Amino acid sequence: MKRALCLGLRFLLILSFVFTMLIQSSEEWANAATSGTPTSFKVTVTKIEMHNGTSYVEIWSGTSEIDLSTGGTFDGIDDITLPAGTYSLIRVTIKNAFPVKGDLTDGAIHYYTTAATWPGQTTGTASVGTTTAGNVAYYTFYNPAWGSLNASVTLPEQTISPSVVVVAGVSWIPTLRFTLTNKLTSTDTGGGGGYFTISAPDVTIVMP
Amino acid sequence: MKEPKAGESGDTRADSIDRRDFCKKAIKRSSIAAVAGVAGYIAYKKPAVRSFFGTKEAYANSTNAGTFSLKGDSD
Repeated sequence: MKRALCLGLRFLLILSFVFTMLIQSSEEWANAATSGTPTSFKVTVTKIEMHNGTSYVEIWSGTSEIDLSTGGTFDGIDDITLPAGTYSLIRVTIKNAFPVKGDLTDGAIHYYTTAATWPGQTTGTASVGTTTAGNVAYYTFYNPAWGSLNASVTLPEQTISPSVVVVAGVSWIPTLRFTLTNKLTSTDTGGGGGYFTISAPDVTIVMP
Repeated sequence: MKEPKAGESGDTRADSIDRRDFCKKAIKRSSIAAVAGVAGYIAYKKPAVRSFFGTKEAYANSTNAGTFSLKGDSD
């Protein structure tokens, strides 16, 4: 009887220990990573093509960067000549390099992005966080799924529906939109340290 | 014989010479006008073709073009 009681107590002790560990680990998990929206996210467009029913026509090529957080018209991609025709597809080529700046509160600590890469991580994937607001800086992320850092990425072609018929005087202005909400993640490594990572943004071309 | 009215020639031969002279002058005026018209047409046509790399197609494309702009934003 005593032995059974002893075994039962031991079982309860182990159970309470496991329960305590679970609670502790879930708290740590909650503090481990926080997601938010970057305050600045820059993208560079290098080429725009549109399909006229027969083939793709290069509408523009060059280098034009814009901060998508503030938005606006891409510098140089403004009032450019669009030959007459009926266009049903559009595709945009961008640079796989996205200068990002942001800050997040992870637990009780507020972190800011810096230009340095977190030790042990690949360049372009993890920004060292700083708690000093004055040291906030851009970090150039890239999306490994789209190739190497600075590589040219032709985004999937997008259907223009209904097709746009260009004649003299027609002005056609689509919008390149990145979904950035909660794409920036801050990870607290403990001891007042942390780093930022970014998830692949969703990209769409919004028709006018 | 009926008397000719004022301004009318009583001589049919003189009438015939007048008509011939009028026709000659009319033909001359028409040919000058035609030459001027053709010259004007050529003068009008040439600069338009020259302006766009010498091809009619390029000219047509340029005159029938629209404009394109690209905006960027986030959500």
